[in-house]
Amino acid sequence: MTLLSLQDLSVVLDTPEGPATVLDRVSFDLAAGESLGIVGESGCGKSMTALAVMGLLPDAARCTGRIDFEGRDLLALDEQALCALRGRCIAMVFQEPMTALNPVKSIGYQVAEGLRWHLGLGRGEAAARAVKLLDRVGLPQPRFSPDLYPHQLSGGQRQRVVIAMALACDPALLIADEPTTALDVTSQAEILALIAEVTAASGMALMLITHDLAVVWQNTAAMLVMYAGAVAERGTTAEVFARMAHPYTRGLLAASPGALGDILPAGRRLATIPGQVPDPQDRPTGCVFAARCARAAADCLPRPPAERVLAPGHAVACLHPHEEETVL
Amino acid sequence: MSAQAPGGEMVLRVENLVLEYPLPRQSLFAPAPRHRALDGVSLQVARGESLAVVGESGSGKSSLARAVLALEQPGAGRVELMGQDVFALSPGALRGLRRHAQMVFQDPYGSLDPRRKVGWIVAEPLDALESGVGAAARQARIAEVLVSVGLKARDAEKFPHEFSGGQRQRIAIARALITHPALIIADEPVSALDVSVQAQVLNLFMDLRERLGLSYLFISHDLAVVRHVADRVAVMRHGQIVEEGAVEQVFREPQHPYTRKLLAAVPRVGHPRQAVAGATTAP
Repeated sequence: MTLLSLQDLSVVLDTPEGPATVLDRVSFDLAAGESLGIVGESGCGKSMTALAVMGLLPDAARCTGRIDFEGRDLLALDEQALCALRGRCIAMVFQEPMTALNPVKSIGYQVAEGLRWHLGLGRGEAAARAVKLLDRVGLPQPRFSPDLYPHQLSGGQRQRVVIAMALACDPALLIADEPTTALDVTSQAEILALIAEVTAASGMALMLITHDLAVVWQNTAAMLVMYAGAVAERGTTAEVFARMAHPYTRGLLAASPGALGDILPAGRRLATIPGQVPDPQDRPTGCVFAARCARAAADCLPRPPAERVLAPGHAVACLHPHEEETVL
Repeated sequence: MSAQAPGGEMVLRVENLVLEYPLPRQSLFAPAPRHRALDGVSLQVARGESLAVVGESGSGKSSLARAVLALEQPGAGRVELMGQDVFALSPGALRGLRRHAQMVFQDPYGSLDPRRKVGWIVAEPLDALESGVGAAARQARIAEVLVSVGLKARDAEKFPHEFSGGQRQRIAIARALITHPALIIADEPVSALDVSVQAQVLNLFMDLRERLGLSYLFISHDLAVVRHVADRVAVMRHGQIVEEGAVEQVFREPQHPYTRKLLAAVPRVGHPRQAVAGATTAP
């Protein structure tokens, strides 16, 4: 059953320099209990997609298309209806746990807040549930009292509190926006394992946003590669990694220092993608990646390439995709 | 172990460095407890060599960087920069020595003054540490370092907000290069950057080292990042170096269990996620 469905979602921001298209006809489906990874560089529209689903886009944003969640079009809902949905049906884990948490409220209070607001639980009952939730995310009593404040915890522990808050009302969809970027590698591994475990245990759908391809490989069944506000490549994680048809996907992998098996020989350099993501105000008319692409040809320039299906469950928006399989 | 001559082959020598921070007093009558950030650290960086220090947050990596630049007063131990004991020098002499060791910070948004032009930012170490540089020579030095990090000489007239994260980190590197240092201390220089930009900045570090014969003390929590830029790796934990060796050796045959844990935590394509070890680490 499809839980979340985006159909041709475009988001245009009105800026002093003119309208900026930050999302360009993004479509995807996410079934209940499934996991989807979204990768790309900063400015590719990953976080905008998450904010659009949460109904948290800036006021200056104009949306077209549809976001269907459990059969309702989220773009048509008013703020009150969205408030009832956020935290209750769709929960989000943000990148920076210190800014996501309130520094002057205890962690127990913050975890219980959603329970009291959405489920109408009494103070005592909510507090008892909060203790259980903290225990669930690896912050057991008595060492981690609900009376602690965020500043008394490490970064990884704070992110566990944020996850406990997200889990509180047993939502159908969990959106994790770069949940481990601010953390150490060891905390990153623990937090990703925790997210995978809690979503699997309660049948929650997961939308995991990251810039690290290896994180997607390890954690989600399906993936989207986004570039400059549009979907460049999509498919099951296994298919996409076996083929890596879009030159951008290959470029991202080649540039990841961790993805390479061996140390570079002396004098060799890491592969880079030349240039940077074009500003939303002046995107080219043709393929947005053409200016940075080694495979670009004359036919890439007149209009953006339409998405085409390479194999069942694998599609790419590129006129000259890589045909050969990757060696991973 | 190696040459003792002042200004010899060792750019940096750290011996048994101990650094403690006082913690809040628990009782009125007991002495305040102390946190030992560095617990007998010894390491050396030869001229042209690149040493990476890796470890988790709280392992003492950044305290080490601060102590090496004499920004913290250690409880015991020695730090020799270019053969001179930094804690025995007069403030004036220390200032002269600082020319030889410059720092690149993690956050290129926080480390550049938003109200100053790039030319002023880049020249600040020159203005502070070298006297008697004429206006024309100063302009030439600014242009030279900006070009050497892949920016344009006319970028000196712009403000930091006009640059992307990767370009800002290039500005920070240019600022570190302007005094022609022998040693650059880089504290997590790429962890705030995107993957593709990370690769560009890491390549720049490698280029500069080949061209200028720089030494690096490269501090990071990410083993995957340091393996490409370092010759040797020192793994730090709770203020101590638990393992040190050549990069290939530490990556192929990690000896200490902590090093193995760090290596296993790096997500890699083609490898399943590692099981969670303990629920949480120290508070």
